[in-house]
Formats: sequence, structure tokens, C-alpha cells
Amino acid sequence: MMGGLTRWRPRRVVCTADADHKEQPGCEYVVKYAQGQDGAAALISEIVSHGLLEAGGLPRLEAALVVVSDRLARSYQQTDIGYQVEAGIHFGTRRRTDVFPAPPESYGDLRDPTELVDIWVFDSWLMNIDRATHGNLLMYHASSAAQWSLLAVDQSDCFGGAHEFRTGRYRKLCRERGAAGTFEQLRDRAVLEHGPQAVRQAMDKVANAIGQLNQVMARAPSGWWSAAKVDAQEVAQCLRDRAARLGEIVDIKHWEGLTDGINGGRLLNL
Amino acid sequence: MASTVVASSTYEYAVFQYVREPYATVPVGVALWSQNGDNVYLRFVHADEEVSGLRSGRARQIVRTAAAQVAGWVRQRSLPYLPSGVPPTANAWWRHLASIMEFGVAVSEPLAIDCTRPAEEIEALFEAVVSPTTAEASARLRVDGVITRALGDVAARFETGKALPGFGGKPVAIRRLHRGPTRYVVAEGVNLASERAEEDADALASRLLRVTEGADMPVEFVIGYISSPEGLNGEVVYVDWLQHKLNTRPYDLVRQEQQFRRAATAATAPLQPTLPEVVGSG
Repeated sequence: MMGGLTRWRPRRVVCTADADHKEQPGCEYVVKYAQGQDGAAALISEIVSHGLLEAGGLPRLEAALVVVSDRLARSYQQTDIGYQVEAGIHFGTRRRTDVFPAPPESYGDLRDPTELVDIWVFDSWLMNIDRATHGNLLMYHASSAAQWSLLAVDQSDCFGGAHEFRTGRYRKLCRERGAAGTFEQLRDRAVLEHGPQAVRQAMDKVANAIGQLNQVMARAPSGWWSAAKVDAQEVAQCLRDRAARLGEIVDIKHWEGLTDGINGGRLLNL
Repeated sequence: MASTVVASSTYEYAVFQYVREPYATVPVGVALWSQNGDNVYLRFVHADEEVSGLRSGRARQIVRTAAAQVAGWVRQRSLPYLPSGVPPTANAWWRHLASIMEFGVAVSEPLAIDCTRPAEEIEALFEAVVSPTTAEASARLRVDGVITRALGDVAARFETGKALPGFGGKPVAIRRLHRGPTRYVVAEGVNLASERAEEDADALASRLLRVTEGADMPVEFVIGYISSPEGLNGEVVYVDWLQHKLNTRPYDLVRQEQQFRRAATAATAPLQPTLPEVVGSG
């Protein structure tokens, strides 16, 4: 969800719920147009991971499948966007103007630091490789709060990254990959402050999400699976396996030992 | 006012703006650098500065967070998604920054500007572009500081916190006062880069004219001013006005620091006894 030099630059597009655009003025979405096999894999990663975050109860952007007509695809040919937009189904998230990229200026600016623990545990489960990349974790002010809440965005590089996902190397990573690198300093402080129960609560959210895995997997259009040549059943099995080993992946014993070691006190010089 | 040639070079600057759709953006900071230099100078709005359109705590938090992120990128000499090797003094670095700052705070494309001492002129550039309302006490302190630096060693010849009798006998506070045997020398200054430039220039002229009407000895003025880079604040007319009313040439305290100091040195130089006239008797 960013306008810089990403794999392919997302576009801000006004979309309507109906194909003939009678429902004006529509809403602005940030759309990722699928590009080749890796692009299709990235969109599967996006929609599956987004759905699992939703199933786990984590804050996320409002997502939608975006249908590009032949006419719109042709009209892009007259622009200089740098890649070809194909007619078909793509992925978009509703554009929000009330958000700001993490990190916050200080830990104290976080309204609920356990939100970061939740995102880290999900990233670890989903093998997200780039949460700390600028623009992939956004902050917003929930209701009247003066502090930041967190919003996980851009899940296109879960499963070890789109290329690893598409080539099948994610299966090996599924067995070997450890915890994600999600703003470690802030995460460490959050876990130390809120204890290993914050990690366990996040793992419970993963358990809730895995219960809806089949419905979530079904959200990805069949054309994306075939374009990426990724087997949906293997992906589902990977996620189940990692969910079963999640305590080991996030090293829950390490956190329990660390907080036991300080007997409820606080660590200095984090 | 006659133009003066000063040693200057081309710098670039960019303006940070708080974005609050659908309203107009609010300038909240500036960056100043030279493509031939090593340093980037940043100045964002401080907590004690009021800026119209930046009143809420949330808006302030967004700007603070953006400022911290930009300062971090400058310090690390890197930007997300930009290949390494492009330094923050390159315009390409700033164009890329503009492309990634798409939430809450945006930054302009680089703009050329004439500059001689960026570490000092960043302040005046900030005041001209952002126009913060600064507490009067801190504004006064800033002008005092710049005058002290511009005077250098000559500052020791002046007393601070003094007053001279003005029109009608009412005392007039003076920033720097030198009491010579035959005249007073008053060193004063004004910030013409701020949004109060007109008001402050008028106040200074009026205050010093009252001194000339009430002092018990002649008064010589040495006047300095803080300017905005390239006169962005439209202050030339106030410089001319001060010269016209006080009959002395005001000096830019940054770009004409040496001339200001020389004028203060000459005005406060001890009197030299003249050689006695010798008449030949032969």
C-alpha cells in the first residue's frame, strides 16, 4: 500500500459497486493490478492474509476485488504507468486519508502495544517478510484516542515473499522459517510490559482465524491460483502446520522465561 | 536601497506540508541543503509555536512523527525504496521522498534558493514559509542572540538591558547601549523574516525616533535585521523604511554580519587625540 518503487506501483482508482458505474461518485481504492505469475501469487497472499487478519479480529483496511473491464484495460494502454493492466479481477483496499506510516515517534505513542504483538504473531504465522518496510504498518487514531492504533497493510509478501510463494519454495520455508521481524524493539518492549500472555492471546486469535481458513481461501479467485500455479490445498496445509507449531515459531518459552526472570519487574536499557 | 554583492551560492529547499483533505495544506517545516554540501538542515514547527491550521493534538502528533522519520532518514542517509548511494543532498533523494510521503505530511519538489549560511538562514526560511506565531519573549531572545553573534568581540563595548530617556522624558528600553563621551551608540535589531515584520519594523523605528527626541546627547544607531532568504517575506520595503526614518543603513545580520560589526566597531571606537599642531618658530 504505497506509492514508491514497489514491485509494481499500486494505483488510486475510483471504483463503484456496479459495473456500469451508475452508483456515483464511487469510492477511492488503492488497487494492485496482478502482473504475471509473481503478481498473481502476491494477490493470493494479499487476499488470504487479509482474510485471516479479519478472521482473527485484527484491524485491517477494507478490501475488495476490483473488476477491470476490457475498456478500462485498453484505456491504460494510452498511459505511462509502466506496466500492462489486464482485464479481469484484481485486488484493492479502500483508501484512507487518516493514516500515517509507522513507526511512531516513541513507544508511548502507541494506544495499545499488544496490537503490535498481534500483528507480529500473525506475521510469524503467515511468513510475512516485510512488515517493517515503510508503509506496510500504518497508524491511525481510533475514535477520540490521542495515541496511535495500528493497522497491518500490504500482505503481498507473506509466504516468504511472492517469488518464493509462486515457485513453491514457501513449502520449505513453511517448515523452517522462524518468527517475523516486525519492529523488534517496540515488540520486545510490548511483550516485556504486557507479559507472555499478550503472545498467547495473539496465538488464540490465530486459532480463531484457522477455524475460518477454508472460507478465507475461497475468497481468492480461481484465476489467480491457476495463474500463479500455486496449489490451494498445499497452502492451507502449510498454514495449519505453522499454526500448530506457532508457540515454537514465536518462541513462547523464551518470553515466559524472560518475564519469569524479572519476577514482574521491569527491564532497563531495552 | 542599493544592492550589495555578497558571497552566496545556490541551495535547494523543500517545504513540508500537513495534508488535511479536503482543506488546504498547511506548511509545517522546511529543509535546506546544497547539492555540493554534506548537510541537510531541517526545521519543523516546535511545540511552543502556533501555526494556523495545526491546532489539534492529533495534527501535531502527525507532524512530530513525520519530522522524526525524516530526520532519521537524513541521519541514516537512506530512504525506503531508494537504492543506496543517493545522498540526502541530492535532489533525486528529495524527489523520491516526495513520492513516498503520501500520508498526513507531504513534501514539495526541491526549489532553488540563494543562501550563504544555511545553519542560520534555515530559521528565517522557516519563518517566512511557515509563519509561526512565536511567543514574544522567545522571538526577542532570538534577535538578541543573532545581534550578539554578529557583534562578536565588539559586544563587550555595549551594555544590555539599559534605557535612554525618550520623547517627553519617558525611558526607552535599548537592546545594546554604548555610552561614548560625546554620543550614545545604540545597536538594535529586528526580525523581518517573521509574520510580524511590518509591526516590528514600525515599532523599532518609532522607539528609536523617540530616543533621538529625548536623549541628552546625540545618538548613533547601528541597525541589523534578520531577513528571509531571497526576501521571501517581502521585507525590502521595511529595510528601506528603517533607513529612511533612522538615517542609517540597516545590515542583514547574517549576510552582512561583517559590515554590521565594522559599523559597530567604528561607532564605538575610542576617541584618538589628534597631534598637537606645531608651529615653527624659525
